[in-house]
Amino acid sequence: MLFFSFFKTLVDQEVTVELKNDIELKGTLKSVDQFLNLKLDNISCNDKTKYPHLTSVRNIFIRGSNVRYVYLQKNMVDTNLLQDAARREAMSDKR
Amino acid sequence: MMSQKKDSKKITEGEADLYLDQYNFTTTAAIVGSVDRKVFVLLRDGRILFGVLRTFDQYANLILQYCVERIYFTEENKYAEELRGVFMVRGENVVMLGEVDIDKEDKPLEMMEKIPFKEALKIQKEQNQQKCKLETQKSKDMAAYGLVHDFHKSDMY
Amino acid sequence: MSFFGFNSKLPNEGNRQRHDHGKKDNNNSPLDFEDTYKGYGEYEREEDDYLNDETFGDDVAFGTDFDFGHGSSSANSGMISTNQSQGQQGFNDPVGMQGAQAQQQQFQMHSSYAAAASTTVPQQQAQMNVTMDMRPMESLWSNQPDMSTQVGQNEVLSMEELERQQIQMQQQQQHPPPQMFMPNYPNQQPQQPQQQFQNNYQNNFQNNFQNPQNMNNQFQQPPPPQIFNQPPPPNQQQTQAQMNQAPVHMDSPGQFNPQHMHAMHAVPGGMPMPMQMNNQISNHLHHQQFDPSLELKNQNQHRQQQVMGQNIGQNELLENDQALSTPSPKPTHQVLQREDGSIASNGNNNQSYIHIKDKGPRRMSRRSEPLSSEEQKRLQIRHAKVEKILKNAGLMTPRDKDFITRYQLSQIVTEDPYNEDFYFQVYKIIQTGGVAGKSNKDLIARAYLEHSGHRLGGRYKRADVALQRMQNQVEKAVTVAKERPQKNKDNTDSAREGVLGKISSSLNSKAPRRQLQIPSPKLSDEEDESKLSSHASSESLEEVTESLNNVGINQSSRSRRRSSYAFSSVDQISVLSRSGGRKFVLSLIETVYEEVLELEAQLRSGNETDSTGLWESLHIGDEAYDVSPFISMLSFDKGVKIMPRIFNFLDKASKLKLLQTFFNELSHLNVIIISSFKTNPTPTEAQLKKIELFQGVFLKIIVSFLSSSADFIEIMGLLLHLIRNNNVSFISTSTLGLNLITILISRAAIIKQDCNRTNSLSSPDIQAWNEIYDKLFISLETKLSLVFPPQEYRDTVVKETSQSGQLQQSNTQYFDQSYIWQFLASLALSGKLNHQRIIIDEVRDEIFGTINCAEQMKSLPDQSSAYRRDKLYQDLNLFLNVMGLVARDGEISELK
Repeated sequence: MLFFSFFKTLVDQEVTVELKNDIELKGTLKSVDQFLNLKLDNISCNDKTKYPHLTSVRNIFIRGSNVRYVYLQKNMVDTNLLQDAARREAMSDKR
Repeated sequence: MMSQKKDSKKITEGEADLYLDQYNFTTTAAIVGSVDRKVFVLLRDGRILFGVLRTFDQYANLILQYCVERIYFTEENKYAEELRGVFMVRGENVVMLGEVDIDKEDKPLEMMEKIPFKEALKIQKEQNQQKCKLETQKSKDMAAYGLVHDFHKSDMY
Repeated sequence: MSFFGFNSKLPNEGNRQRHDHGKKDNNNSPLDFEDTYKGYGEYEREEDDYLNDETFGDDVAFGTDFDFGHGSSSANSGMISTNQSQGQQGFNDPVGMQGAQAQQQQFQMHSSYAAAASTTVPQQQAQMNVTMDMRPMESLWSNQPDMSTQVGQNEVLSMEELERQQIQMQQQQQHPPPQMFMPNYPNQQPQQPQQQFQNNYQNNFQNNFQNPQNMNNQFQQPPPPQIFNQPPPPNQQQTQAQMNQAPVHMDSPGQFNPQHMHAMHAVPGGMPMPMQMNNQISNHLHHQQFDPSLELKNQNQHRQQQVMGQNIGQNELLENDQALSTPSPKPTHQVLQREDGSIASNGNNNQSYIHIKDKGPRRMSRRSEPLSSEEQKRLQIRHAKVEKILKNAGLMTPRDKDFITRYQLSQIVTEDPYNEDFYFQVYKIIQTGGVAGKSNKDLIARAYLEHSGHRLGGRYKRADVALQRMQNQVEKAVTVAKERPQKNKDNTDSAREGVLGKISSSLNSKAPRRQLQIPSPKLSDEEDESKLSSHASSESLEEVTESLNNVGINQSSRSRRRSSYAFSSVDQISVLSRSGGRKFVLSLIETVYEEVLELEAQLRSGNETDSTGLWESLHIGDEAYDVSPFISMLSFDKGVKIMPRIFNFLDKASKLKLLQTFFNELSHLNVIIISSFKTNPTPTEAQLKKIELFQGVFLKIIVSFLSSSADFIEIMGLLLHLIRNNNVSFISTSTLGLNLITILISRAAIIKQDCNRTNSLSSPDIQAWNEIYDKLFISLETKLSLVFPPQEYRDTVVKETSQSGQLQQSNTQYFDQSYIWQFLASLALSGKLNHQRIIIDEVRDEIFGTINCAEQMKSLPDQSSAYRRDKLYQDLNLFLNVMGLVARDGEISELK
């Protein structure tokens, strides 16, 4: 749940999602679910040639399993808090 | 925590609020806005489908109506499409799903040459085989360095 | 308030409700959702009827969507709907309106669309439905109550049952009950509204446009916003309205005669009800079967939404619509309207409406002139698309959507939601500036309204109603989820749960498959390692101890060893090994974190906190190791960072004990070692950062403890701990060490001064202090000049800090010696005259060196040099002033 929890804090932030097929989609994160499926608004794509229709697509739902990276701004992450959260996760694993 | 366990059947107001917050963090919330809209769906096998999303379920299995499958050959500036009717897509095969602006969707096509679908299918098949070979080789090469190349034959998107 | 005017009552119930609302608008005023709802709640209690709801789709949406105009001025209802179908002008129609009520009626008109639309239901159908309307009627309004019953049921529903329920639902959708209409295959079912819809759509724009009875009308209706925003337009509308009265459109044989309908509506009192019932029923059915009436309903929904003008999107729409509605050649106009209408009908969800509409109308609005053929072609394509989209819109009902959401919500439910979602929850609190628990419920509810297609709360789409519903859903989901674990013990249906996320081999997303498997080391290995390292370190320890015989005032040989050890190495490994090894210390830190997190969780939930566990985890006073593990914890940044949070939970005695340990073993502190120019003449940037972190975190804690809680004796005690167990002259070569000493003696001096005034300090106290001070002074005597780091060290520090730019030191151009002058000042302050003399004697060179340095700055013209000069004097005078001296312009004089 940690990553889910983490991604929830990124909602309404602009992120870049790199898919496993090397396509990068940049947009405002609108939603994330427990499977880390993402929904982006106002997307733009680094490679317009592969999927020409993406120009006519404004928002997109991306299945989490196809995501390779999500690029974030540094200031979107509270590292100390994240560490604590990771500890909690580890703690609950132990139990 | 103990107390929560004890009366786990009861939902405290705080807990209810907590989950209320979660409402928008469900797959449903992400997709539901696209219902009864024209969408495109990219499948893991590389298929690109356009159609009207009619319904879906908690697995993101989708039902598309007036479904059109399209193949692009952007390098040759060609495309092909075929009407497929109603499509049910199993959720796990979805790479992405996006709402299409019906006023803009045809624009890229206007610049492209339409070729017969069968022909396109053939070319695509060859391309996929090519890609498969390439990626398999890449996997081997990387494996030599102890690296993993995340490629599966079914992933042609 | 008054929205759906339809009478949701059973016929025999009469119109009580209606009358309730009489104040709004005659007797016919629309029903209040709340009232209606309340009135009907009880019907829902019928348990058997439960599946009926599932079958028939979402009742609320239904009832709400439906027919809100019905109750409006009866005689006009037909007219109104007509008008509306044509545009906003309707209410301006003198015939149709009872003037004063204009505003009210606008709303009603909306409603009346629905009513009118409902009339499109073929007559036969309607009649057929009359017989069976009771049930749907109940469920129509049952939304809330229905929910509650379901909640009740679900309390005992297992996941499996949920599934089954779902399946049933699906089945029912697939195989509609016999009395229902066939699903929308327009061609096969000529009598279906769908058919009408289709036909009208395709063939009879004009007709549709003018035929109020036709659903298409609704679709063709200009967006409601116009109703408000647009000045009453042309009479054309009126005429059209009249035209509408005549059933222009005869596609569907079963269609009601509009006038007939109107008549029905016009009948005061309960008469309209059957009609409504029919409508509702048919809607109901259609709803399930994806009939156009659903769209109709949706449209109504839209109306409401639009009327409310709730969100920006809608406002935009309004504008668009206005633009749209600017007079244009008739064909275009119609087309446009159709578009609008159709789009609106799509309005199953608000967004879609906006979305599509956004484009079309806007585009259109730009051209009020006749369209070129190309444009027309384009429009036609567009229409075709829109039509397709609309054709089966609403297949997925709000209820379906709710169901899936509920299902998914139940998957997220955990035993301990707050902690599972720790990062998000705390992050939110931090972001909102510490306002905890301020849930943005309203926003959530609104988002829900937009997405789900519900028209909860009627015209105003009241968020609170939606919220209530959501809360019900959540409750349901949570209840179901909490039932689940027991179920899963013997019957794992993980496969079903995670298909989308494809989480193999685990029940849910809480424990996803791990890509990295880190084998936990065998215990024996660990032991070996620690043995090995302790052996090695003891060797090096002997070596170091041997070489250092000059260590001062140590109490025992053990602590001497400790202190001396500090000289051995900057590298912390050997120190760590004395307290159990690096791994051990790191694991201790983690344990401390766990304890703190646990305590914080307790605190949050308002429980009593018990810091015993935390205290134990700190290993303070743990004699099992040569170096207290606690000291080694401070070798790590994360060990330092947790300190303030630890202090939140410790009582004063514990804090004091902690600090005693700290001062006792100061020499082992990694930060002391790396901050001493003796042991670490060329500090790296990373080390400087570490020092800064320590200053910023731990020193702050000490300062605040000393100033708020510690009394004179306690401070003396701490100082004593420092002096007794450490080589003070070494400590004083460390920036940090010097700072720590400064803190202690200056705090003591301040307390002493205060006490002198009040005479509250006993003479033994003062005597003790003098003794301790003497000890301190003796250990520093002859070495005072050594607190000044060599030039090389200063240069390194300046270089490293200026390079990184990361450090917060205000000026990275030169080495800041203020901490040294502060130390000397506080030392002098507590000392007697002879102490002060000695100090001055010893640091004389530094004093003049500083003055020289400052005077050199004088010759440099730039601003920073002037500043630097001031700073040098300022720091120096901090010390000199204590002795009544002041340095200025190269001279030292008496302070006056």
